Amino acid sequence: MFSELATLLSTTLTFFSIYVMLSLSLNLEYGFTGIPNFGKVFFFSLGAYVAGTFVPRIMHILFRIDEPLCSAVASTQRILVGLQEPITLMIIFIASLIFSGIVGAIIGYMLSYPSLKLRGDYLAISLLIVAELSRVFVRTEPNIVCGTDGIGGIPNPFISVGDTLIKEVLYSILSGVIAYLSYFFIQRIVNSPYGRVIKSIRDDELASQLLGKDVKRFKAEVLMFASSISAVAGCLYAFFIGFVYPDDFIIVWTMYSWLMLLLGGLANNKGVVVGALVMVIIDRGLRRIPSYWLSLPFDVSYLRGTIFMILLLLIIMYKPRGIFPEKPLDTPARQVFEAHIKKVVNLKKESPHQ
Amino acid sequence: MPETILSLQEVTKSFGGLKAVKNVSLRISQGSIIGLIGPNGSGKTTLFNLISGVLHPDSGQIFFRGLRIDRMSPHERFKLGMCYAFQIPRIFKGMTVLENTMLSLKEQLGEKILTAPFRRRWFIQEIRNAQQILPLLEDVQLVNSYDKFSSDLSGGQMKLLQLARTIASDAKLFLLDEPGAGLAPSLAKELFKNILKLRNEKGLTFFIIEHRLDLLFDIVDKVYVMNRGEIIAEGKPEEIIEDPKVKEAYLGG
Repeated sequence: MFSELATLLSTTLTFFSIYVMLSLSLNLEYGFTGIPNFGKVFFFSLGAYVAGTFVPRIMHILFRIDEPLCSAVASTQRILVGLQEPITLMIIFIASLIFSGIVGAIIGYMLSYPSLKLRGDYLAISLLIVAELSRVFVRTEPNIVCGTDGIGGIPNPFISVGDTLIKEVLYSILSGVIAYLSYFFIQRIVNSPYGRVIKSIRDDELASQLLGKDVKRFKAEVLMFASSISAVAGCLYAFFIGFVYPDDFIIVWTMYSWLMLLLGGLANNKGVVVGALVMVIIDRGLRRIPSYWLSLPFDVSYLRGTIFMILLLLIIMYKPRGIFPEKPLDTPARQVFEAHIKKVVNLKKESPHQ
Repeated sequence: MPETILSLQEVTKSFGGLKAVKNVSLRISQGSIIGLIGPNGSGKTTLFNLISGVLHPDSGQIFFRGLRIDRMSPHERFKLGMCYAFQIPRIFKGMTVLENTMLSLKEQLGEKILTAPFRRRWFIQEIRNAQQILPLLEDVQLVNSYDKFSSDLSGGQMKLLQLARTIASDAKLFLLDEPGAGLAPSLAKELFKNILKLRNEKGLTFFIIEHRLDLLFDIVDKVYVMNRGEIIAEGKPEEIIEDPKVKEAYLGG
């Protein structure tokens, strides 16, 4: 019973971390900068594809595995080697996290060009198509992640611990730390003059340019940073499930990211984290409920989708700015004004006759 | 003779078949206050859009502080020292009054993605910048609403906020499109007095579109009159009032 609960909690924490990274990066893109990224799953899948291409190949070279890359035997051998070589495996894991961050940044930079030319809905549709096309491309191209079969045998970096539970707990803590780091940096970046600039781009691009802001540069940087966070999340996901399968990366991921963002609140990072928490609890919690508990006319797995859509509708109807609306940025300039106003009030108190 | 800060040579811009600005040439010297008047739809705002970089001219050249700028993007022109305040205020509605004003300060260290997360790198500059804009917001009586989202301001306050933001930019040339419109008479008077003061004290240059001639003519050195995309007259306010062409096209009667 205890181990079951611990497994549930660690799985939930891992998914929570991944969701937090996705929704926070989307918040940076849309909530703060106004880039409607409807291709979130594409940037997410990049990290998984990096893990799926880089990890098996490097392991085959390093540990001289001769079996064909996509075969089941090779996949088992990779797991076995991972058990024997924990340090090398950890280095490979960290390298692929960094590598997916870099790939995410490069592709994010490339896609900042259409985001300059296309506005609003058109950009959203284009990114949606990019995400869908990339999935179709990867599943038909056997040399990336073995086409429709996907590639398995991506060993969990903590596999040599032996105990499945401890392995999952360690992995979830690591994901939590990475998610916290991205939260920390995004919070720092937006609560600064940089955050002011990207918000101004969201509100009025032309006026922002007329105040000397190089919109092109800011959009490119935001997309680079946000995409690299999404790609790292994808890489974490691939190592967690140990398998990269192109048909995993369907539009649902994008929709979930948007749902968390809208639920929590646009341009409010704390709200988005709460949104992700609500999401992951519903998502993971309902998976544990056996169908016979609820006498539903359909399978219990459809219940999640139904709940999410009802939530989305309610939010859009009654709280379009999210549960936690946008707040003023926390920059040092505010302290100056706060102090000034206090001073004026005190002066008035001291000399009531003037 | 004072230095020329802005000069336009034969600048033309058309929208489809309509020539909004036709062969406009003008010269503005540093430290002057220049007015631009003309009937509605005469191309005044289009001319400002061409100078500030919102639009690019079809032909002709624009020089600002000795540099040719007509192919530059708006943000590059701003960095050279030009700031444009729109007729209908374009403030950032999802940002507070303070954030709106802070935005226009130049060379902020915290605007680089690599320094932004490290507060210590830009903290002192930020505090100084805030102290610098505090009196500006005091002038327009928006200090107490510094933390308000600017979408909650009234129309006149939005206009004032835009002005404060424009002045905070530390530009050399200000393009003001109807700064007095939508303000209470006393405030508008105050505003024009402040413009004159800024010119006298700091040698700043102002190029102003305004329909309230009583206010404008008190402070300007020279007025250009536009009609149907062309400059039909230029000179001191006294001369302009007497000009028959101006009377016919703009002043009436």
